[in-house]
Amino acid sequence: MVLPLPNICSTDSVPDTFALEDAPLASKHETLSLAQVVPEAGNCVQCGMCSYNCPMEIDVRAFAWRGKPIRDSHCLTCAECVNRCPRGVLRFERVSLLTLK
Amino acid sequence: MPTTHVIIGSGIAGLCAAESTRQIDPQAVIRMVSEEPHEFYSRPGLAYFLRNDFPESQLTIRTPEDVAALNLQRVHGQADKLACDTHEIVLKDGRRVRYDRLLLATGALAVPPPFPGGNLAGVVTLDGLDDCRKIIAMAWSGYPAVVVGGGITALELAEGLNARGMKVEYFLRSTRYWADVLDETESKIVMDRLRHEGITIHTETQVKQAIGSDGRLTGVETQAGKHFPCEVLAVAIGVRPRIELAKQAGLLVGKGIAVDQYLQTSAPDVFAAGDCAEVFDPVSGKPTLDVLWPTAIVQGRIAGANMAGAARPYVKGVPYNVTMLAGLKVSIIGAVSGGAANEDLVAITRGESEAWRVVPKSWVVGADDDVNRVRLVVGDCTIAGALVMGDQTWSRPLQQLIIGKVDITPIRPALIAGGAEALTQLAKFYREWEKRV
Repeated sequence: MVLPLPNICSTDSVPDTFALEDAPLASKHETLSLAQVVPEAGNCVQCGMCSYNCPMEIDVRAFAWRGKPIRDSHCLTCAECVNRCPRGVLRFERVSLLTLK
Repeated sequence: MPTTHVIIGSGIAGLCAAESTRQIDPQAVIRMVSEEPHEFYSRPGLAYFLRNDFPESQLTIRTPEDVAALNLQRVHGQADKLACDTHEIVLKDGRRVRYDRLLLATGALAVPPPFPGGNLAGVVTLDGLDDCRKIIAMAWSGYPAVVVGGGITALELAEGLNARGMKVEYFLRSTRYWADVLDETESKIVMDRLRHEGITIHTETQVKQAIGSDGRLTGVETQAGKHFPCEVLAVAIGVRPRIELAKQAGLLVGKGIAVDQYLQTSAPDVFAAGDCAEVFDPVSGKPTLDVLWPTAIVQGRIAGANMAGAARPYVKGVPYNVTMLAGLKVSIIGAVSGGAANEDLVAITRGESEAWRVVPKSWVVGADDDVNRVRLVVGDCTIAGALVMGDQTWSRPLQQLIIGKVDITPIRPALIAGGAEALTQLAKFYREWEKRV
């Protein structure tokens, strides 16, 4: 289950339009410490830019095209893959660890 | 006796079909016939390989373990004839391959250069890995290259050759880039960025002929009589579905191979999926081509399942693509038409859908700077399409609202008014909608 938390949080700038009073965005620190990299599998063209740029050599693509959150204990949540993906497939999202398989 | 599935084509539709069939039928014999000897690779990734963003090895999309688990028999060769009555295909070299179920996943190929001299060495099109390797081998730093055509592939070629140090002259037949999908401002943003990267753009310029000596390209002559020396002439004026095999076998074809909602062709036990297939679009009521990677994946999976006995209908979704144009991320969702004809293409190009060009009026919202831009095409009570350029924060929410055909009547006036306030209203609306679903 994906918790209804910050669905829109890029690591860099967040447009003002999203600073809504009723749904405050998670801080960068919160996002990075609690969230995982989550793919939008339907948009992935499997180019491999994410895997190539991962400093921990995680095969991010293998998770991404299958639509699975990047669940690897070595993941630094450094956002390199999120920012490098030419198709905007990856994002940070808080995922319930209990329901992950 | 296990069922024999034959798949013609090793692109993403063929691969996904094989995976889907294997999942349902572990005993099935699956043979894949293809001219390409390579491991499965990412066709969209070729742009980044060409640009030297990563090495060729990065293009491989399945691990050796994934491939082994598929238990696939690869047959290297070109299918020449399809005999529906005897359920077999004949390869160019005379070998015969019998099938119980057949998938045509033959893809689409670049339209060949239409001008004299198009067969000179040095004149290239970009379809697959072999083309990409050939182009890279020719791309000598410091030497001139000419790129012709519109759409995504032409830009991939221009930016790739430029990144490899060539002096790129980019010819556009019309006055601006990709005029049938981008609006004037969007075209201008992309063109300005290309110029900034060092690419020289020549608008309203057409090739009259490619000139060479001893069969090797030396330059091009334009319709206006100007001469440009060049080592490489890259042509990307569109792609055409490969339908010869189906046509010769008497299958129903239009621009692509006609399929029903189960992706079955007019011949029994023969299916088609991906760039070569033409599906019925319930929105326009017409047969439509999508030359999109995600579409090929979905169609491949469904065709593979149906070949193994399932009866899954294919429902054509909202065509969607995210691409890099001059280093800018651009999402194109639904109907977005740029409002002008595109003279640079003679056929649909890769990464495009015919459905994009359906046009209602559109409004630009939140165009607060030179690069980040959201353009909405607002229908009577839904958002019909959107083009998101630069910051992609809006891409996913808009994709959901458009695909879900969400009724936006309450905020329609605000959207049409445009500007930053439109985005604020839309953000609020989206949050509330998301909470409900």
